[in-house]
Amino acid sequence: MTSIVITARTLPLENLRRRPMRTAALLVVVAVLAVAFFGGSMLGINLGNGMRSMERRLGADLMVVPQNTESKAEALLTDGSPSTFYFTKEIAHRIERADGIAQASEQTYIASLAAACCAEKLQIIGYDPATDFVIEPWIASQFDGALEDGQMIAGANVNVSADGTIELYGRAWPVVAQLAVTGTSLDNSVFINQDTVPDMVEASASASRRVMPAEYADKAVSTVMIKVKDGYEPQTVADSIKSIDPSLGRLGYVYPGGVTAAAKTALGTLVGYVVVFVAALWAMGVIVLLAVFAASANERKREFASLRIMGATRGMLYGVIARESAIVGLAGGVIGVAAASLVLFPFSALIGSRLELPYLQAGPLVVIGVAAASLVLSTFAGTFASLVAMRGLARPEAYLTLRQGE
Amino acid sequence: MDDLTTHLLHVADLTKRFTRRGEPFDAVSHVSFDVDPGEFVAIVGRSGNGKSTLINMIAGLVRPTSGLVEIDGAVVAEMGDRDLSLLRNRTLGFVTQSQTLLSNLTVLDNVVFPATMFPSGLSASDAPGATGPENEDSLVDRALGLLRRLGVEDLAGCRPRELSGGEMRRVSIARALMNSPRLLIADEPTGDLDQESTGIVTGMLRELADGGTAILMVTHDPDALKVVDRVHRMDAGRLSDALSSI
Repeated sequence: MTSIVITARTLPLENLRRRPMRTAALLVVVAVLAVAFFGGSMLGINLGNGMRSMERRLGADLMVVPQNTESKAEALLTDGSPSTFYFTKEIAHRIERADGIAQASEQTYIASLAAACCAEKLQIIGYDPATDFVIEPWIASQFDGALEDGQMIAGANVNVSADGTIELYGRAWPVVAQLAVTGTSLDNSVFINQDTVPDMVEASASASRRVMPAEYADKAVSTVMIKVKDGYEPQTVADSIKSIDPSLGRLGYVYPGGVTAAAKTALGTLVGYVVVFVAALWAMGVIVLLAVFAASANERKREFASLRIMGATRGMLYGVIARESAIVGLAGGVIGVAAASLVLFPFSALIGSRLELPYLQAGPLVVIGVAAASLVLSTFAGTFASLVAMRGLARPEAYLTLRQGE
Repeated sequence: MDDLTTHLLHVADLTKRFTRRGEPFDAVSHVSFDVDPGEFVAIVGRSGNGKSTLINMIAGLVRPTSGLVEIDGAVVAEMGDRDLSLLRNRTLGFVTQSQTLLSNLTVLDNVVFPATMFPSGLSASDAPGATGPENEDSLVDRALGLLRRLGVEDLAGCRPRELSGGEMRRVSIARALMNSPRLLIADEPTGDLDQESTGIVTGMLRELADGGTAILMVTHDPDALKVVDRVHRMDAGRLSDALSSI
């Protein structure tokens, strides 16, 4: 007769296999803990990445935008929807004459339509490569070349056709590069040089609805991005601009540092809630595990006394307990991490937009690290709870346990 | 301490004191006796007179308040956890009064299990402990042989919950014999058995004793006493001198 002999090493697996309901219940508890830890950690890390990415992309100290468009401009910096707004180049040039400005560069924003004309609704950003200090350094790190008239650089989330073009307003625009993910609305943007803006406006007119009057096509400016000189505060430079002409005082002034600070506050609050939620869930989970293991410890007193009588050392008993709980902890952890991954990774863009915060998915090494930490913690929690609950079972006086009920 | 090494089991002035309702009492009081290889010794007495406490102290499952237990030349109280566990696994076989089969294992796995616990502590002649793949079949064969002798071989694939009390008792005996112990301690081994099964078990124990195994049995069963070499009575924790010899 051939048989697979069960040893002290394989006994834990057999014990788990023979108690499917108890094992399943423990797996569910541990899996929930792993979901909470892995999901919460990844959420916090990805939001932090998004925040840092946003800070890196906001190289301007001050943005001057048309009257009553501050909120649209702020939304463009974080995770808002595409917008079109502008004043004229003449205003921009007056702004740039103010005291305290180290660098100034103009950008023009056009929101494409989500209609038959366009592949998708995008933020079209016209910038001047010659003066730009916000986008160009970032683009330059990923695109080694000059952006010619009529060409585009696409954000990470923009769908580029297989032939390397994007269809906008009935025209296929060649894409020369696609940028890495930033976790901000820039991922849903395409970048053109300022000379291409009139072409885009005309294209919109012929394909659907004109995005701005023809007379503004070559002189529309949505924002003047300003880097202040050393020793100047953005607020001071804004006051300087306003002092040039009272009409400039009615423009919108956006301080990206303030936007970052506000987003940071929102992020801090959210992460705080997540930490409290995960901590509470873990506390409850460990209590549940302790309760389950304590209950099973009572029902297993006889089993452990029996093992002692057969010659099991205390180490063997602890080994059986630890291996059982480690198997549950590891398997539950794997299930939890897998379940959380099924939600986190495919729906990361949706999560980011729902949270209305910059959300940048961490790289594979970080994900693997957090997953490994989740598995270690899950395994440790299971083992800790079981060893605490069953610490009395390996006492020398096994006989007294055995006599109970005789 | 002059002749401690000449007996397989040497018990000297052994006492276990418990406290009940704040009052100390000796469950086992100054008990002394010896058992040699091949001897079949029975201890009788009313319930609660300390028989089980005595044999559990011998097996190292309860620490004595005073006195000495020596098995095969080793003082049980002085042994560390590993040595004591090895003693229980290799030198002793223990049939407990209560049901102690592992509920998650089959009857066959229960019987084989003790032979897998100290695989490295054995020589080739102690084949039961070696758990290499080549030895698994021999372990299973040996376990099935024991179950066959006790009339429960057909239950090898059953779980303990599927067995009657008498069947569980016979499986427990097979398990205790798996590692060919030099001293078998049996607490009411025929307690749940009918007359025929009692005959099978006592016959087997007698055969083992004749083969050199020392057997210490606690029993209330007059039929079981027919095959023993010596009977002691335990009364209020005190052990009488041998009452009879067969």
